[in-house]
Amino acid sequence: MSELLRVENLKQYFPVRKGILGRVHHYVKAVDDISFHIDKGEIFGLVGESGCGKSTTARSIIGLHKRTAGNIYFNGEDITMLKGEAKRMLCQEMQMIFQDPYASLNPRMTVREIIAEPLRAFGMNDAEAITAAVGELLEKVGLNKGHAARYAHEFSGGQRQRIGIARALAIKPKFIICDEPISALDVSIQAQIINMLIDLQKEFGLTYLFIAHDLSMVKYISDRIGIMYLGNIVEMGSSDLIFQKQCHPYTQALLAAIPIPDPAASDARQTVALQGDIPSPIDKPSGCSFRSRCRYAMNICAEKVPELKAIEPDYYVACHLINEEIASL
Amino acid sequence: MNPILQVNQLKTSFFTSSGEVEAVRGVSFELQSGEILGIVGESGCGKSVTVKSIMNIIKPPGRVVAGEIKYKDEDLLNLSKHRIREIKGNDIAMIFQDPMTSLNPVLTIGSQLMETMKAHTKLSKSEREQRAIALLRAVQINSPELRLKQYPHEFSGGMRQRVVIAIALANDPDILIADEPTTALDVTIQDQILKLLKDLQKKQSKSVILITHDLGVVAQMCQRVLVMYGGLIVESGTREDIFYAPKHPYTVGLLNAMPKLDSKARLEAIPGSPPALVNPPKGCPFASRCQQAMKICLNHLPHFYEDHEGHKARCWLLDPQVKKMKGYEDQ
Repeated sequence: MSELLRVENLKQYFPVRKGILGRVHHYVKAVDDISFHIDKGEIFGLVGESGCGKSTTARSIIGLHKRTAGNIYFNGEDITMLKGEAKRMLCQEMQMIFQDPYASLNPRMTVREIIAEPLRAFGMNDAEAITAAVGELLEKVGLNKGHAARYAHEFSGGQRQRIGIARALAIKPKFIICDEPISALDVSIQAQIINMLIDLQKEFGLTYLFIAHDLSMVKYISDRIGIMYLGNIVEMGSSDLIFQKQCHPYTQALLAAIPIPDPAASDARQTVALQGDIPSPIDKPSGCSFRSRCRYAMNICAEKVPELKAIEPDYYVACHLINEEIASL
Repeated sequence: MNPILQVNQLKTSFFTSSGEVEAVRGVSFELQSGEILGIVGESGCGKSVTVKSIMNIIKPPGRVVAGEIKYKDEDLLNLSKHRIREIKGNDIAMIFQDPMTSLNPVLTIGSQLMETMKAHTKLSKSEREQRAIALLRAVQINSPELRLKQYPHEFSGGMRQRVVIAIALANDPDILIADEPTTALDVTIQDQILKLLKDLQKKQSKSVILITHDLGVVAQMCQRVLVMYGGLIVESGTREDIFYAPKHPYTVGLLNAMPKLDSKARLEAIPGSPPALVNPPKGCPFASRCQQAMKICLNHLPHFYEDHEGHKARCWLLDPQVKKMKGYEDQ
């Protein structure tokens, strides 16, 4: 498989200004030096709790934030340097599906206008062609042509998310970022949307970056998963292996905290709840950012940031414990 | 077993400009003393309205239309305002979903904790403060003396939910109603809060109604479960009944819609979406999405059939005659 997207040492800091002069006091390190790649036709899942930087990563990739440092390659081309028309044309390749289908659709536009907007932006001006394209897109996402004249408020949450997906698909992108596309939806509707995303991926040969906090869904849909904590990727590898190995203490804690919908399995599980809260990204612990909640924390964890190291081909962990020399001390 | 709370044929409607929205359409259940009863369902199924009716906090244009809510021989729907105030916060307390909005941002945690005590007890100021400190300690908040003087914005989401739980426990109520207490929280924090709730329930032998949409939370926490759909209870039973031998096609559908561990088989989604309750369907509310729907399902609301002691489902498939006709075998 060939690579579609490569993120190298991406940093996204947000300045915190204080005082009447608005001096930059310190930075919120939302994304702090992460690297990963996504192959063509792959679904890459990015998981983590709120504030871990998963959405910021997505927004940096698509260019909604001015990145602090790092490079992003799309189809082998560095897209962080693109400007003007070239940057605009990139949107044709890359689209995003947002979390909240209630906030991401303009309430004053009809469904036809919402879906036609990207088509117009990329040069389709013939009204008949637009009507035909909108109708076809609506049918692709399980709605029908007749829905085109309605407004967003006339639809349920699941249907709105379908409209958002139709809009993202309109200009035939290769790469779609799904930022928590199902977390605002009910359980019975989630499965509908997930099935549809998989069907569309197969039909159009799409590549997804799938962001969520629901690990079971991410495991189901993703080929590979990256687990984020406070702006860093702490573990990354194929989704089956991550669940099998759980090398990083945070991955262990995260997986142990998901309630299992099976009474016997739930009762049999003896887990200790992770102590404490997620530290603020303004004031991260030194060294490993997870050490303040980690049961295995050692001296070195406070001193040195653990590197994301390959422990086997295409499987990475950032923890001092995997370094045998240190762990044996 | 003796029920501490009995709800009989509760009906709550909202009278809106587009007509009467029948949010709860005849719900009956019992809360046993010392148990955690789960209510599961999707948004709009009436689970929150049910408990809000119990707490008497339905706001206009909503109104409890009919029914009876019995707590210790008193019908909560037929009490004086004064008596209801006595019961609320004292005997029955509620934990709300969003700890970001359920605390007052301009009052200290301490004054919000002591407010409930002030309203219901004759404790002196210093006694109240002592009790507030003990409560914060009970919900595992460190340095409670200091925390008492802080404001909600100085607390994280999980900490705020702990404070909300402490406020609910302030007057040592018999019944705790938790309306999606962990939905707004991250999984590792959710785990902490659920463990805390279960621990408190065991230690102080509280009776708890836990509302959630997460079947995993139900499996972890509850002894008995009510499954709601379209303003009705469609299935009720023990946790094991619901997870291992579900009888209602909706419950079956919900369980199947979740991805199985170690399986990449296509998810079995439930087609369609829940019915609008402005003009609720005449028959079974789930009929339009049910793959096993029959003619009768569209026109007549099914009875609440008992499969075995304590396990009931509102589905025509459990009707003895239908079973015979369809050759439908019991598992």
